[in-house]
Amino acid sequence: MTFRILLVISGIFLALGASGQLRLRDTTKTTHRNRFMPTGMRVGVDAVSIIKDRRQENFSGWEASADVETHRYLVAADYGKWGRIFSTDSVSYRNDGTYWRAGVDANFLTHDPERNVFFIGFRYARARYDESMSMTVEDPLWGFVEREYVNSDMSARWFELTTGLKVKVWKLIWLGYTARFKFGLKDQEEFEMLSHDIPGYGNTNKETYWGFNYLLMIRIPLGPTRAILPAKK
Amino acid sequence: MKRERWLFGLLMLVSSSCLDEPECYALNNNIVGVSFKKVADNKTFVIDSLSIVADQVGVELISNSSASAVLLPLNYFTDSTSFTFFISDVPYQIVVGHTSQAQFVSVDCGERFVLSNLHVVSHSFDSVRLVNAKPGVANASPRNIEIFW
Repeated sequence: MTFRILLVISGIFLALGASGQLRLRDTTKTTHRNRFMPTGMRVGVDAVSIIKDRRQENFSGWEASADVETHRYLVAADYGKWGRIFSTDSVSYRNDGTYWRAGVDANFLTHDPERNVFFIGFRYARARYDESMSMTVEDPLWGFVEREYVNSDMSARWFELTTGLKVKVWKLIWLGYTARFKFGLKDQEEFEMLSHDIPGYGNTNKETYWGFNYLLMIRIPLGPTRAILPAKK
Repeated sequence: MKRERWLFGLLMLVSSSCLDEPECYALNNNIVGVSFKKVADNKTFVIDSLSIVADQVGVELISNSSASAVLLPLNYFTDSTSFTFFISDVPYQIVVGHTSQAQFVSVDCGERFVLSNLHVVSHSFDSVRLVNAKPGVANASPRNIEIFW
Protein backbone atom coordinates (compact mmCIF):
# COMPACT_ATOMS: atom_id res chain seq x y z
CA MET A 1 0.00 0.00 0.00
CA THR A 2 2.81 2.41 0.94
CA PHE A 3 4.50 1.63 -2.36
CA ARG A 4 1.33 2.49 -4.30
CA ILE A 5 0.96 5.82 -2.46
CA LEU A 6 4.59 6.66 -3.26
CA LEU A 7 3.93 5.88 -6.92
CA VAL A 8 0.91 8.20 -7.00
CA ILE A 9 2.80 11.03 -5.31
CA SER A 10 5.84 10.70 -7.55
CA GLY A 11 3.52 10.59 -10.57
CA ILE A 12 2.00 13.92 -9.63
CA PHE A 13 5.48 15.44 -9.29
CA LEU A 14 6.47 14.06 -12.68
CA ALA A 15 3.38 15.55 -14.29
CA LEU A 16 4.01 18.90 -12.63
CA GLY A 17 7.64 18.81 -13.80
CA ALA A 18 6.61 18.20 -17.39
CA SER A 19 4.05 20.97 -17.14
CA GLY A 20 6.67 23.45 -15.97
CA GLN A 21 9.05 22.58 -18.73
CA LEU A 22 6.32 23.01 -21.30
CA ARG A 23 6.28 26.74 -20.73
CA LEU A 24 9.55 27.00 -22.65
CA ARG A 25 8.98 27.37 -26.38
CA ASP A 26 11.45 26.71 -29.13
CA THR A 27 11.19 28.53 -32.39
CA THR A 28 13.80 26.48 -34.26
CA LYS A 29 12.42 25.33 -37.59
CA THR A 30 12.62 21.66 -38.49
CA THR A 31 12.88 20.94 -42.18
CA HIS A 32 10.91 18.16 -43.79
CA ARG A 33 14.16 16.49 -44.84
CA ASN A 34 15.56 15.80 -41.37
CA ARG A 35 12.22 15.40 -39.61
CA PHE A 36 12.54 11.62 -39.09
CA MET A 37 16.25 11.52 -38.28
CA PRO A 38 16.76 10.03 -34.78
CA THR A 39 17.35 12.82 -32.29
CA GLY A 40 17.88 10.84 -29.14
CA MET A 41 17.92 7.46 -27.51
CA ARG A 42 16.89 6.51 -24.00
CA VAL A 43 17.94 3.38 -22.14
CA GLY A 44 16.76 2.50 -18.69
CA VAL A 45 15.58 0.02 -16.13
CA ASP A 46 12.24 -0.63 -14.50
CA ALA A 47 12.26 0.26 -10.81
CA VAL A 48 9.07 -1.70 -10.12
CA SER A 49 10.74 -4.99 -11.16
CA ILE A 50 13.82 -4.24 -9.08
CA ILE A 51 11.75 -3.42 -5.99
CA LYS A 52 9.53 -6.49 -6.50
CA ASP A 53 12.65 -8.63 -6.88
CA ARG A 54 13.95 -7.42 -3.52
CA ARG A 55 10.67 -7.17 -1.61
CA GLN A 56 8.54 -10.07 -2.87
CA GLU A 57 9.68 -13.55 -1.93
CA ASN A 58 7.85 -15.18 -4.82
CA PHE A 59 9.22 -12.95 -7.62
CA SER A 60 12.60 -12.58 -9.22
CA GLY A 61 13.28 -10.48 -12.27
CA TRP A 62 14.32 -7.27 -13.94
CA GLU A 63 13.41 -5.30 -17.02
CA ALA A 64 15.40 -3.01 -19.31
CA SER A 65 13.89 -0.55 -21.76
CA ALA A 66 15.11 1.50 -24.69
CA ASP A 67 13.57 3.90 -27.16
CA VAL A 68 14.73 5.96 -30.10
CA GLU A 69 13.13 9.31 -30.94
CA THR A 70 12.25 9.88 -34.54
CA HIS A 71 10.13 13.00 -35.13
CA ARG A 72 7.13 12.67 -32.79
CA TYR A 73 7.43 8.86 -32.62
CA LEU A 74 9.40 6.64 -30.27
CA VAL A 75 10.50 3.23 -31.46
CA ALA A 76 10.49 1.34 -28.17
CA ALA A 77 11.64 -2.08 -26.98
CA ASP A 78 11.80 -3.82 -23.62
CA TYR A 79 13.51 -6.99 -22.49
CA GLY A 80 13.02 -8.66 -19.15
CA LYS A 81 13.53 -11.72 -17.02
CA TRP A 82 10.77 -13.02 -14.75
CA GLY A 83 10.48 -15.92 -12.34
CA ARG A 84 7.75 -16.86 -9.87
CA ILE A 85 7.56 -19.39 -7.07
CA PHE A 86 4.32 -20.20 -5.26
CA SER A 87 4.21 -22.87 -2.64
CA THR A 88 1.65 -24.25 -0.21
CA ASP A 89 1.43 -27.46 1.78
CA SER A 90 -0.14 -29.35 -1.12
CA VAL A 91 1.02 -27.61 -4.28
CA SER A 92 4.16 -25.96 -5.53
CA TYR A 93 4.45 -23.96 -8.78
CA ARG A 94 7.41 -22.23 -10.35
CA ASN A 95 8.19 -20.60 -13.66
CA ASP A 96 11.20 -18.87 -15.13
CA GLY A 97 11.68 -17.14 -18.46
CA THR A 98 12.30 -14.06 -20.52
CA TYR A 99 10.13 -11.72 -22.53
CA TRP A 100 10.42 -8.83 -24.95
CA ARG A 101 8.12 -6.17 -26.29
CA ALA A 102 8.52 -3.92 -29.30
CA GLY A 103 6.38 -1.15 -30.68
CA VAL A 104 5.89 2.50 -31.39
CA ASP A 105 4.70 5.38 -29.20
CA ALA A 106 3.36 8.72 -30.42
CA ASN A 107 4.48 11.76 -28.41
CA PHE A 108 1.81 14.40 -27.81
CA LEU A 109 4.15 17.02 -26.33
CA THR A 110 5.19 18.21 -29.76
CA HIS A 111 6.09 21.78 -28.77
CA ASP A 112 8.37 20.94 -25.87
CA PRO A 113 12.01 21.92 -26.51
CA GLU A 114 13.25 19.46 -23.87
CA ARG A 115 11.56 16.57 -25.69
CA ASN A 116 9.57 15.50 -22.64
CA VAL A 117 7.16 12.80 -23.64
CA PHE A 118 3.50 12.09 -23.01
CA PHE A 119 2.78 9.11 -25.20
CA ILE A 120 0.21 6.62 -26.34
CA GLY A 121 1.48 3.54 -28.11
CA PHE A 122 1.21 -0.09 -29.08
CA ARG A 123 3.37 -3.15 -28.38
CA TYR A 124 3.76 -6.68 -29.66
CA ALA A 125 5.13 -8.95 -26.91
CA ARG A 126 6.50 -12.47 -26.69
CA ALA A 127 7.67 -14.69 -23.82
CA ARG A 128 9.67 -17.89 -23.54
CA TYR A 129 9.59 -19.81 -20.31
CA ASP A 130 9.72 -23.10 -18.42
CA GLU A 131 7.29 -24.01 -15.65
CA SER A 132 6.66 -26.88 -13.29
CA MET A 133 4.09 -27.87 -10.68
CA SER A 134 4.01 -30.63 -8.10
CA MET A 135 0.91 -31.37 -6.09
CA THR A 136 -0.91 -33.78 -3.86
CA VAL A 137 -4.69 -33.76 -4.21
CA GLU A 138 -7.30 -35.62 -2.24
CA ASP A 139 -10.79 -35.85 -3.70
CA PRO A 140 -13.55 -37.27 -1.46
CA LEU A 141 -14.80 -39.47 -4.31
CA TRP A 142 -11.83 -40.19 -6.58
CA GLY A 143 -9.15 -40.59 -3.94
CA PHE A 144 -5.59 -39.35 -3.52
CA VAL A 145 -3.05 -38.54 -6.23
CA GLU A 146 0.47 -37.16 -6.26
CA ARG A 147 1.59 -35.59 -9.54
CA GLU A 148 4.40 -33.61 -11.10
CA TYR A 149 4.06 -31.59 -14.28
CA VAL A 150 6.79 -29.91 -16.33
CA ASN A 151 6.30 -27.63 -19.34
CA SER A 152 9.58 -26.80 -21.05
CA ASP A 153 10.34 -24.22 -23.73
CA MET A 154 6.87 -22.70 -23.70
CA SER A 155 6.02 -19.58 -25.67
CA ALA A 156 3.26 -16.99 -25.62
CA ARG A 157 2.40 -13.73 -27.32
CA TRP A 158 0.14 -10.79 -26.53
CA PHE A 159 -0.45 -7.16 -27.42
CA GLU A 160 -0.36 -4.00 -25.33
CA LEU A 161 -1.77 -0.50 -25.49
CA THR A 162 0.56 1.80 -23.61
CA THR A 163 0.52 5.28 -22.24
CA GLY A 164 2.92 7.18 -20.04
CA LEU A 165 5.23 10.05 -19.33
CA LYS A 166 8.98 10.46 -19.74
CA VAL A 167 10.40 13.56 -18.16
CA LYS A 168 13.88 15.05 -18.09
CA VAL A 169 15.02 15.40 -14.48
CA TRP A 170 18.64 16.49 -14.70
CA LYS A 171 21.06 16.59 -17.65
CA LEU A 172 20.90 13.07 -19.10
CA ILE A 173 18.75 11.62 -16.31
CA TRP A 174 15.09 10.93 -17.07
CA LEU A 175 12.19 9.39 -15.14
CA GLY A 176 9.02 7.96 -16.55
CA TYR A 177 5.93 5.85 -16.27
CA THR A 178 4.45 3.33 -18.59
CA ALA A 179 0.97 1.94 -17.96
CA ARG A 180 0.15 -1.09 -20.07
CA PHE A 181 -3.17 -2.58 -21.05
CA LYS A 182 -2.34 -6.16 -22.05
CA PHE A 183 -4.71 -8.14 -24.23
CA GLY A 184 -4.92 -10.84 -26.92
CA LEU A 185 -2.91 -13.45 -25.00
CA LYS A 186 -2.20 -16.63 -26.94
CA ASP A 187 -0.31 -19.35 -25.12
CA GLN A 188 0.19 -23.08 -25.59
CA GLU A 189 -2.76 -24.96 -24.13
CA GLU A 190 -2.21 -28.46 -25.47
CA PHE A 191 -0.26 -29.87 -22.51
CA GLU A 192 -1.31 -31.67 -19.33
CA MET A 193 -0.62 -28.53 -17.32
CA LEU A 194 -2.05 -25.13 -18.26
CA SER A 195 0.17 -22.13 -17.64
CA HIS A 196 -0.60 -20.09 -14.55
CA ASP A 197 1.74 -17.18 -15.05
CA ILE A 198 3.55 -15.93 -18.15
CA PRO A 199 6.70 -13.80 -17.84
CA GLY A 200 5.89 -10.22 -18.81
CA TYR A 201 2.15 -10.85 -18.90
CA GLY A 202 1.08 -12.29 -15.56
CA ASN A 203 -1.86 -14.48 -14.63
CA THR A 204 -3.23 -16.36 -17.64
CA ASN A 205 -6.74 -16.55 -16.20
CA LYS A 206 -7.19 -12.86 -16.99
CA GLU A 207 -8.06 -12.09 -20.60
CA THR A 208 -6.84 -8.54 -20.09
CA TYR A 209 -4.28 -7.35 -17.62
CA TRP A 210 -2.76 -4.09 -16.44
CA GLY A 211 0.96 -3.59 -16.11
CA PHE A 212 2.97 -0.72 -14.78
CA ASN A 213 6.60 0.35 -15.09
CA TYR A 214 8.42 3.15 -13.35
CA LEU A 215 11.48 3.87 -15.48
CA LEU A 216 14.86 5.29 -14.57
CA MET A 217 16.58 6.28 -17.81
CA ILE A 218 19.43 8.12 -19.41
CA ARG A 219 18.94 9.96 -22.71
CA ILE A 220 21.76 9.92 -25.22
CA PRO A 221 21.37 12.79 -27.70
CA LEU A 222 21.83 11.74 -31.31
CA GLY A 223 21.17 15.18 -32.74
CA PRO A 224 20.13 18.68 -31.73
CA THR A 225 17.44 18.67 -29.05
CA ARG A 226 14.56 20.98 -29.92
CA ALA A 227 10.81 20.94 -30.16
CA ILE A 228 9.29 18.45 -32.60
CA LEU A 229 7.03 21.10 -34.08
CA PRO A 230 7.62 24.86 -34.09
CA ALA A 231 6.00 26.90 -31.33
CA LYS A 232 2.44 28.03 -31.93
CA LYS A 233 2.20 31.70 -32.92
CA MET B 1 -1.24 19.41 -18.79
CA LYS B 2 -4.18 19.51 -16.40
CA ARG B 3 -5.95 16.86 -18.47
CA GLU B 4 -2.82 14.69 -18.47
CA ARG B 5 -2.52 14.91 -14.70
CA TRP B 6 -6.10 13.66 -14.35
CA LEU B 7 -5.37 10.89 -16.81
CA PHE B 8 -2.41 9.74 -14.76
CA GLY B 9 -4.35 9.84 -11.53
CA LEU B 10 -7.00 7.67 -13.16
CA LEU B 11 -4.42 5.22 -14.48
CA MET B 12 -2.92 4.84 -11.03
CA LEU B 13 -6.34 4.07 -9.54
CA VAL B 14 -7.15 1.53 -12.24
CA SER B 15 -3.83 -0.26 -11.90
CA SER B 16 -4.27 -0.46 -8.12
CA SER B 17 -7.75 -1.93 -8.51
CA CYS B 18 -6.59 -4.84 -10.68
CA LEU B 19 -4.80 -6.73 -7.95
CA ASP B 20 -7.71 -8.98 -7.11
CA GLU B 21 -7.59 -12.64 -6.13
CA PRO B 22 -9.84 -15.36 -7.54
CA GLU B 23 -12.57 -17.01 -5.49
CA CYS B 24 -11.72 -20.54 -4.42
CA TYR B 25 -15.13 -21.99 -5.20
CA ALA B 26 -16.08 -24.66 -7.75
CA LEU B 27 -12.68 -24.50 -9.44
CA ASN B 28 -12.92 -27.86 -11.22
CA ASN B 29 -15.37 -28.07 -14.12
CA ASN B 30 -15.79 -31.82 -13.70
CA ILE B 31 -19.57 -32.06 -13.71
CA VAL B 32 -21.36 -33.68 -16.63
CA GLY B 33 -25.11 -33.17 -17.06
CA VAL B 34 -27.09 -36.18 -18.31
CA SER B 35 -30.75 -35.91 -19.27
CA PHE B 36 -33.26 -38.52 -20.37
CA LYS B 37 -35.42 -38.08 -23.47
CA LYS B 38 -38.11 -40.03 -25.25
CA VAL B 39 -37.02 -41.40 -28.62
CA ALA B 40 -40.48 -40.79 -30.08
CA ASP B 41 -40.90 -37.05 -29.48
CA ASN B 42 -37.57 -35.89 -27.99
CA LYS B 43 -39.37 -34.76 -24.83
CA THR B 44 -38.02 -35.07 -21.30
CA PHE B 45 -38.53 -38.50 -19.79
CA VAL B 46 -38.68 -39.23 -16.07
CA ILE B 47 -36.99 -42.41 -14.89
CA ASP B 48 -38.87 -43.72 -11.86
CA SER B 49 -36.26 -46.01 -10.36
CA LEU B 50 -32.73 -44.86 -11.05
CA SER B 51 -29.45 -45.73 -9.34
CA ILE B 52 -26.00 -44.71 -10.62
CA VAL B 53 -22.64 -46.16 -9.60
CA ALA B 54 -19.21 -44.66 -10.32
CA ASP B 55 -17.45 -47.79 -11.55
CA GLN B 56 -13.84 -46.83 -10.82
CA VAL B 57 -14.51 -46.48 -7.09
CA GLY B 58 -17.70 -48.53 -6.70
CA VAL B 59 -19.55 -45.68 -5.05
CA GLU B 60 -23.29 -45.27 -5.51
CA LEU B 61 -23.90 -41.66 -6.54
CA ILE B 62 -27.68 -41.84 -6.89
CA SER B 63 -29.81 -44.40 -5.12
CA ASN B 64 -33.24 -45.49 -6.32
CA SER B 65 -34.47 -42.05 -7.25
CA SER B 66 -36.88 -40.56 -9.72
CA ALA B 67 -35.15 -38.18 -12.15
CA SER B 68 -35.26 -36.74 -15.66
CA ALA B 69 -31.70 -35.35 -15.47
CA VAL B 70 -28.66 -35.97 -13.28
CA LEU B 71 -25.34 -34.25 -12.63
CA LEU B 72 -22.40 -36.65 -12.39
CA PRO B 73 -18.80 -35.99 -11.28
CA LEU B 74 -16.04 -36.87 -13.77
CA ASN B 75 -12.79 -38.38 -12.55
CA TYR B 76 -10.35 -35.57 -13.33
CA PHE B 77 -7.35 -37.73 -12.41
CA THR B 78 -7.92 -39.89 -15.49
CA ASP B 79 -9.02 -39.38 -19.10
CA SER B 80 -12.28 -41.35 -18.84
CA THR B 81 -15.04 -42.04 -16.32
CA SER B 82 -17.35 -45.03 -16.28
CA PHE B 83 -20.87 -45.06 -14.81
CA THR B 84 -23.40 -47.85 -14.49
CA PHE B 85 -27.03 -46.78 -14.54
CA PHE B 86 -29.50 -49.16 -12.90
CA ILE B 87 -32.92 -48.43 -14.36
CA SER B 88 -35.56 -50.62 -12.73
CA ASP B 89 -32.62 -52.83 -11.67
CA VAL B 90 -31.42 -53.32 -15.27
CA PRO B 91 -27.78 -52.19 -15.65
CA TYR B 92 -26.65 -49.89 -18.49
CA GLN B 93 -23.08 -48.72 -18.74
CA ILE B 94 -21.67 -45.54 -20.24
CA VAL B 95 -18.01 -44.56 -20.47
CA VAL B 96 -17.25 -40.90 -21.14
CA GLY B 97 -13.84 -39.66 -22.20
CA HIS B 98 -12.42 -36.23 -21.44
CA THR B 99 -9.23 -34.22 -21.46
CA SER B 100 -8.07 -33.14 -18.03
CA GLN B 101 -5.51 -30.36 -17.55
CA ALA B 102 -4.11 -29.21 -14.22
CA GLN B 103 -3.47 -25.56 -13.47
CA PHE B 104 -2.14 -23.66 -10.49
CA VAL B 105 -4.69 -21.02 -9.43
CA SER B 106 -3.25 -19.20 -6.41
CA VAL B 107 -1.65 -19.76 -3.05
CA ASP B 108 -5.08 -19.52 -1.40
CA CYS B 109 -6.94 -21.74 -3.87
CA GLY B 110 -4.23 -24.25 -4.82
CA GLU B 111 -4.74 -26.07 -8.11
CA ARG B 112 -7.69 -26.80 -10.35
CA PHE B 113 -8.48 -29.21 -13.15
CA VAL B 114 -9.86 -27.93 -16.43
CA LEU B 115 -11.84 -30.56 -18.31
CA SER B 116 -12.72 -30.39 -21.99
CA ASN B 117 -13.24 -32.50 -25.10
CA LEU B 118 -16.00 -34.59 -23.55
CA HIS B 119 -17.01 -37.58 -25.69
CA VAL B 120 -18.87 -40.85 -25.30
CA VAL B 121 -16.40 -43.74 -25.51
CA SER B 122 -18.95 -46.54 -25.22
CA HIS B 123 -22.46 -47.20 -23.93
CA SER B 124 -25.11 -49.90 -23.72
CA PHE B 125 -28.17 -47.67 -24.10
CA ASP B 126 -30.24 -47.61 -27.30
CA SER B 127 -29.18 -44.11 -28.25
CA VAL B 128 -26.97 -41.42 -26.72
CA ARG B 129 -26.25 -37.91 -28.01
CA LEU B 130 -23.49 -35.53 -26.96
CA VAL B 131 -24.88 -31.98 -26.94
CA ASN B 132 -22.02 -30.09 -25.28
CA ALA B 133 -18.39 -31.22 -25.04
CA LYS B 134 -17.48 -28.83 -22.21
CA PRO B 135 -18.24 -30.14 -18.70
CA GLY B 136 -19.39 -27.55 -16.21
CA VAL B 137 -19.38 -26.70 -12.54
CA ALA B 138 -22.04 -28.03 -10.18
CA ASN B 139 -23.94 -24.79 -9.64
CA ALA B 140 -24.20 -24.11 -13.38
CA SER B 141 -26.20 -27.31 -14.12
CA PRO B 142 -24.47 -28.20 -17.39
CA ARG B 143 -26.31 -30.15 -20.08
CA ASN B 144 -23.89 -32.42 -21.93
CA ILE B 145 -25.38 -35.82 -22.75
CA GLU B 146 -28.88 -36.91 -23.72
CA ILE B 147 -29.90 -40.53 -23.27
CA PHE B 148 -32.86 -41.57 -25.40
CA TRP B 149 -35.28 -44.03 -23.90
